Amino acid sequence: MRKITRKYLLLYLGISTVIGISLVGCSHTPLRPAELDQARAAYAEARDNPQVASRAPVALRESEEALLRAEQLWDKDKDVKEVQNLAAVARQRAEIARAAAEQKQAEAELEELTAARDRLLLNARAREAQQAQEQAERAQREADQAYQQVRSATTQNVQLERELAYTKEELAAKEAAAKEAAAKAPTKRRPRSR
Amino acid sequence: MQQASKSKAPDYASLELYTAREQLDAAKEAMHKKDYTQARRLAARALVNAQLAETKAEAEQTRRAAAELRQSIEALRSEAEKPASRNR
Repeated sequence: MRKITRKYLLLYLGISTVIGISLVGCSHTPLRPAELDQARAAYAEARDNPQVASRAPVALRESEEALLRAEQLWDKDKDVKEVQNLAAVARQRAEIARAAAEQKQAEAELEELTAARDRLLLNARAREAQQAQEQAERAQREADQAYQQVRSATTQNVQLERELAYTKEELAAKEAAAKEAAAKAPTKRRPRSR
Repeated sequence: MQQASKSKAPDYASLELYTAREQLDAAKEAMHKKDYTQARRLAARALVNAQLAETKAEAEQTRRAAAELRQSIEALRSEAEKPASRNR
């Protein structure tokens, strides 16, 4: 039991010493600023977004350039404040790239919608024109029909008048015949009246 | 900053614009104190934040215009269907 405890204690001391030495070793160089990794992550996210890569390549490249400057400066000078600032700029440039891509996407959508609206308006106008033409044709047909009705009524009227005239003539002829017959009759009847 | 202020950024990206303004003011103060390094850093930060504000605002403005147009298209479509039902 005691042997084992001592073994572990030695091991623990050994590990602590190693950690302690490494910590002392690190304190000579400043810690890598978190901003650098944040900027790298933001840039990678923008670069891996196909919309950003295709719609905002210039803004994306500006973000990459700022990030590279920050990385190089870190490798060379370890100037924490300057690197933090450059990294923050690179991170915002990645955001700008993303916003620019969204803007371009919205613009493309707006163009599509404008075209769709124009098509709709054009169709509506064409439909209205067609309706107006159909209405005009219907009115024309109705007018034609009415004209035909008037015409046939007039024809009928003329025919009736002709028939009437004929009947009148016939009547007149019959009357004349009757008169003539009556004129002849008195000569027969005269001896009776005298 | 002036360019961003003239855009729709005050309406749609007020936080970024506010940050940019703060950084610009701080940069001016650093200039007064002759801390040119700090002034340069702050000016660079102010620039990207102003640009971000402007780009975000433009995107939002375009998105809103698209949404409005989509609504008016819906209205046109339903209006186009109405006369057909009236004729029936």
